[in-house]
Amino acid sequence: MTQQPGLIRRIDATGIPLLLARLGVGGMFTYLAIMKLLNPIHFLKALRTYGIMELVPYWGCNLIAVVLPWLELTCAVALLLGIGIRGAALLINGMLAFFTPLLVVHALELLHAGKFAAFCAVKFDCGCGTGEVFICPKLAENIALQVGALIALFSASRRFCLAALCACCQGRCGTSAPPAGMVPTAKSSD
Amino acid sequence: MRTVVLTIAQALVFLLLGIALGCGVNAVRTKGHIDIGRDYFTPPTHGDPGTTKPTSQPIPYAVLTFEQLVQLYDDPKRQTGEYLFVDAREDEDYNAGHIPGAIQCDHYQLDRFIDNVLQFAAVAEKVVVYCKGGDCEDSLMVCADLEARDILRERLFLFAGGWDEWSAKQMRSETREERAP
Repeated sequence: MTQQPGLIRRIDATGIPLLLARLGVGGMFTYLAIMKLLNPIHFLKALRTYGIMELVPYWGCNLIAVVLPWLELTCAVALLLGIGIRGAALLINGMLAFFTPLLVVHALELLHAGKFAAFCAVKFDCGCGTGEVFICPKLAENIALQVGALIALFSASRRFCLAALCACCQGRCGTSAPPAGMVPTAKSSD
Repeated sequence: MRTVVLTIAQALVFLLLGIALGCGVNAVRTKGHIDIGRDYFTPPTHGDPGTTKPTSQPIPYAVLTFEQLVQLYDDPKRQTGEYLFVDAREDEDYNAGHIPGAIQCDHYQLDRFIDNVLQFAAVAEKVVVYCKGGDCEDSLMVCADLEARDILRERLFLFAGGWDEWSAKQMRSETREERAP
């Protein structure tokens, strides 16, 4: 039994939104992770400026500096390859949801300290791996990444993913993604 | 429900993989190694141990202006080792250029540098420590490291302007290659 799907489902079924989200978020996180991995001490110092050490003990902060870049890289590679997309997207959403408010708080602290005239003029090294950045473009980037990660989390399509390609190689092409224009009778999973 | 469980399971696998890779690579890497058990941000001899965020607390060491630093730099005592200049920045920055004669001491890789620095600091009348300048606190950390190793606080000086001010005023600089014999 089939029913006419909504516009969003039909667009999602093409696999294009998911592909763009995977390439965008995966590519960006790969770059940011590598930049952090090249200088983990720099990342550790940045964690301190966010006041994370007031929330966790020093060894916890050290552990975050050691693990987080690798976690980012692992999730980014998973997204790019199309393996465990929802799990990777969940973690990336979590990381963005944790660090974006910290960025805002730190920017507001700098603004209130009188170091900058306006919120968008606030510029600092966020420890993201890209050096000193203006807060507004950085927030826009984070919001775009969050949207991409949410698309990856909730998309039902698995077109252009490694699992779907493997299924094609085994002669089961199209079975891992809902056919365009049709609503799947059962929810697809990774 | 199955999708939710699968998603959480995938996230846990990635989390464990990230932890394993992070800890594994950190254990074998020399450059950029982080000692998990070391508190990098609490000065060993002074400061409020509970304050782990950068603050505007008074600096417990004498702070030099650029003019005062130049006086020390031009003094013949610098050549004889009575005035010691210490660069608290990391390898990449130090290698690219530092105040001529300054020796490196990176707080985050203290084991690599501290013996060499102490050897010179022990006989120096004044030890001037600098880092990048601005909000950089690495020089403050190195001063605390030296004080914790019996270099008297009265002999420790900070150049707050740091490398940024020194290079902005187009003073002489020296790369690691030029310093090497």
